[in-house]
Amino acid sequence: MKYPIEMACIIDDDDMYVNLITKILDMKNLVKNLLIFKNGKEALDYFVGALKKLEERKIPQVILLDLNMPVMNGWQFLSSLSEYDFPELKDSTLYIVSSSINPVDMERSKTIGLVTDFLIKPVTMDQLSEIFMDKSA
Amino acid sequence: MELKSIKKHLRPSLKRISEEKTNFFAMDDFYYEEISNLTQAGGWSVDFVNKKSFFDKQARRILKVPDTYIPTLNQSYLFYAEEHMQKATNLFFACAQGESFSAEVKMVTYTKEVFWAKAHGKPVKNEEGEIIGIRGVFQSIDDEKKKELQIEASLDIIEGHNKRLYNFAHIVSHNLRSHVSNLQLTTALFETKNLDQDQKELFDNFSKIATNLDVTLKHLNEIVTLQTNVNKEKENVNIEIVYKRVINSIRQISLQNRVVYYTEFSEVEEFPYVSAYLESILHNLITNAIKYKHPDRDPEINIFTYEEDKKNYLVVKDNGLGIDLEKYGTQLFQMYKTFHNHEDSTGLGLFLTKSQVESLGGKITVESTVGKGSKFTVQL
Repeated sequence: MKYPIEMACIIDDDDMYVNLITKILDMKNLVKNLLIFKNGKEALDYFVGALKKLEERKIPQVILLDLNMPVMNGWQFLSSLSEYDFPELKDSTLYIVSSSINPVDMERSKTIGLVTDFLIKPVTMDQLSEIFMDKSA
Repeated sequence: MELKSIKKHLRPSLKRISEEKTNFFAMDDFYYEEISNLTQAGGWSVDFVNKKSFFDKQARRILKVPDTYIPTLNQSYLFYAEEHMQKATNLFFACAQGESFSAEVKMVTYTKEVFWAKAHGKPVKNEEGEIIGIRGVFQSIDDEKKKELQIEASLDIIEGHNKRLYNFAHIVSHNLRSHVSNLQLTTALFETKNLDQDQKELFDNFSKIATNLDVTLKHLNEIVTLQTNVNKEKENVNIEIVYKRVINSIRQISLQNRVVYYTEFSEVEEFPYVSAYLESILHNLITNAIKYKHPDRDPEINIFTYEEDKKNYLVVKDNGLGIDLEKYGTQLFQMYKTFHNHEDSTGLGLFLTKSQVESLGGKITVESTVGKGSKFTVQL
């Protein structure tokens, strides 16, 4: 089975959302391995661990990041990750996927190099397909 | 002749001269007393050389001291409220060093009633320029000050309320959005192939509810975002250009409804405004005019600007259904109020329009006759 994306990850504390996205990705066979982190801290620990060991293959190519999360929110995750300045991350595409419609958040996301785009929930199936197909193309 | 006797000798004659020159309109005690009565201001002085303090009649009245009371410097602090004693003392000492003052202080009457006063003080100098005392005026501003403090307090409360409301709207729209988002994804994933007819109908309801919720939320978002953008900067906007943009975007429905537009923008062509708001206001008023057209005639929409009393106005006038203002006037600009059975009515257009107009400090008014048409006037 050939998947457009080897590895992707969702960083989001909303179980139902994660569940639904997982189903869609499965159904459409968009990704082979999907990592799920419940907050920024869990994700950061994984990223730093994986990148320090230089296991490049284990870096998700597509990252869907929520903003409002307990322990470590999306912004904190982004600023912590930026500090490490891992060159391997340049090949990953990171989307903020949030319920926030605050223009301030959108503006802020544009100032962060790691962020490719800002998506407002609900994300549609078509949007997801596009993100994963584009990346593999 | 001794000096004393010369003085004695001169005095009667001096007196006579002043009597001869009596002027009934001179600046005498009459004015002084009337002014002090009118302004509720009393005079006071401290004589450092003779160690004497003085209150004038009005000061005694304001401080409610008994007729026999003799003011002293040592006791003067008692006329200041405890929390302002230090402030008053500092002002007083500074004045004794030559610095005039003008301040608002809390004072206390002899009968222990606290009141706000405006106090002025100036050093008194002798011929050598030495400071030999202080004199000044204090004015009871209790009523004004209390009102001022009350207004400040209410403003704080209102600001607090506003902030909480704003946060509330944000939280509601944000949290609802997460749920609606999940609901929509769920309905999108739901497999309807194997459902029987009844269940399929029920499921269709689910989908519709999810969609409607999403639409409602989008409206809510628009309103919340509008509140966030209040500080948007105004720039010079050309009404003709904005009008053309709006007309282009609704060309299709204009053609379908055979709308005739008349415009006249020569009186006011440009004015400072938020372009996006003007576009949205114009768009809303025009599409409303088309939506509520009269069934027996093609819509004619008059759009023009004018200036009155240095204020700019934009008018959108139609020959449509009209609105019964006596019945609905007060609800017209409220959220989710619709007055015609029209499937496109969201009850949000005029609410948003009004919010946009008012967020830029303007006003919107309406005149209407049922069956003849409506006229919306926007003060820009």
